[in-house]
Amino acid sequence: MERVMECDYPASKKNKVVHPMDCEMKEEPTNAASMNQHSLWSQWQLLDSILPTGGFAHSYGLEAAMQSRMVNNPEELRSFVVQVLENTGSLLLPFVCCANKSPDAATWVKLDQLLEAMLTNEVSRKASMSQGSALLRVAASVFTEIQSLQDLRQTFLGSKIVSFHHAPIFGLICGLVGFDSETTQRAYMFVTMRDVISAATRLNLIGPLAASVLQHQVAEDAERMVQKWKDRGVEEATQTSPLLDALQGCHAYMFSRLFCT
Amino acid sequence: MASHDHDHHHHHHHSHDDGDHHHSHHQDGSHGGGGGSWVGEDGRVWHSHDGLAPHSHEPIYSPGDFSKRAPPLISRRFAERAFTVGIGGPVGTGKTALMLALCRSLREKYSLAAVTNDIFTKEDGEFLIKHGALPEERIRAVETGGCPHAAIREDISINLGPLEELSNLYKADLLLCESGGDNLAANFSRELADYIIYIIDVSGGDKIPRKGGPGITQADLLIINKTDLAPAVGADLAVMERDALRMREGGPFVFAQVKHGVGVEEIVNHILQAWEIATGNKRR
Repeated sequence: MERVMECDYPASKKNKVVHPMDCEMKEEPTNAASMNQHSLWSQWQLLDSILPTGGFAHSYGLEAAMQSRMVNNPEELRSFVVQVLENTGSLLLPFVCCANKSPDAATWVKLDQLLEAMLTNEVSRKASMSQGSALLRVAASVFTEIQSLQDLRQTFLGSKIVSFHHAPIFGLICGLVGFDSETTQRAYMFVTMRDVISAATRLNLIGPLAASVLQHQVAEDAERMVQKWKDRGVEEATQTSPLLDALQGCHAYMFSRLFCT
Repeated sequence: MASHDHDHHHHHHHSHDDGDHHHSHHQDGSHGGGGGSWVGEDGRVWHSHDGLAPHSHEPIYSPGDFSKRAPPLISRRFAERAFTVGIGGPVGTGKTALMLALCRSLREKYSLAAVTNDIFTKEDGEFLIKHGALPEERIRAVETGGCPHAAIREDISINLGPLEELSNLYKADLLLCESGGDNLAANFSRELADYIIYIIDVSGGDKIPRKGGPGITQADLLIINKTDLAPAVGADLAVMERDALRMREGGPFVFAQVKHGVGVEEIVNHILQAWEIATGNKRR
């Protein structure tokens, strides 16, 4: 976890994050440092699974993959998680990254509409929309110091022109809260990984302890994906695992299921 | 059966008096058939009957008090999402049947919409559609990832989304939200339900109200359903009534047979009363 959070920030960045362990060592906590300490609390809160964004109701296609015998054991689960991460990196990180770099309404609307056009299965489209609108809802109530979050919600709620997809909303919120681009992108991968693994535990594909072990092991792969797919423009966004995409699309046809998607 | 009733009747009387001096009187009442009650070392009144091990119906400490349940939210805006009735309770106690009964009694005069949280299947939503509870487009089924309690308590967003959407689409007066069915600890968050109904049935045994838990103690209305089954399962309604009142500090409860329409009108009245107070509207 800590490794996931900790990263090298460009020195020029305003939001230089201080490692919590170093805090006491600093002789003169500057204004910037105290800003950053404050921002760490927001950062952890945004990444905590207690944040009510409805993530627990989604399996990222794992339930469909399991019912269609694509994933049957912890070994196959691992490869599934890695593929989901790769696909998230290639398809969604560009949206996270762009929304984070220019967290304004105009950019966000464009990104949201583009992603709406690019999502190829209805199931993941729904998952993205419901989690995105839930995230904006909670962020607008929590970060009251950021007026634009409430404005955004007021302006576009109920409007037909945006769908509130998760990746652009996530990037936007992280941008407004003041996270740098790389942290935001890594955080997005972390949240995805966390939710798939949590779903796997509830599907009894893996035990809770083994799941934690798996999460620790897969972190390396996830970091590799971050390095591979970070900082790309949306014109490069691509789908890397069409089979999983098609499988996830079958979720709606399953009679018995635990998850929304 | 008669001696069983007799037993409980005495016990009922006894516990209200909370004194030991009645005890001897009680014992004089001759319980040859293994009955009788006594005050144990713990101060609780114990008895046994029907060959059951000695047990007590005294209230036990339980999380939650009726009077301390979450108050209505001041910041609530019904224009964003209509007054929402949450229906919770263990699996198989009649939540879906109650949804159907409520839709039937309210749909003529009020604009309704419903969200159901099925645990594994779409059966509840489909049941409502099949029985014509509401037009199909007014009913949404939402899966909860195996965590029905989370969907009504700690992460209500997956219910809030569809409820808000339905509320706006159909200018709803009332929204019904059916929980997936969970244990006695699962209760609705006030942020989701403006009026919380918890439904249990007699076949779980007459001890259920006494067990308490947030669902039983903190719901705005407790329904004890399937009372017609009481003789078959040996549940004593007097015991359930006494325990329900005691655990809920006198808070309202209704004996019902939802499937047969018994008690439904009373339930509807409770809901509409709460709706009138919260929204300032008059019933139609």
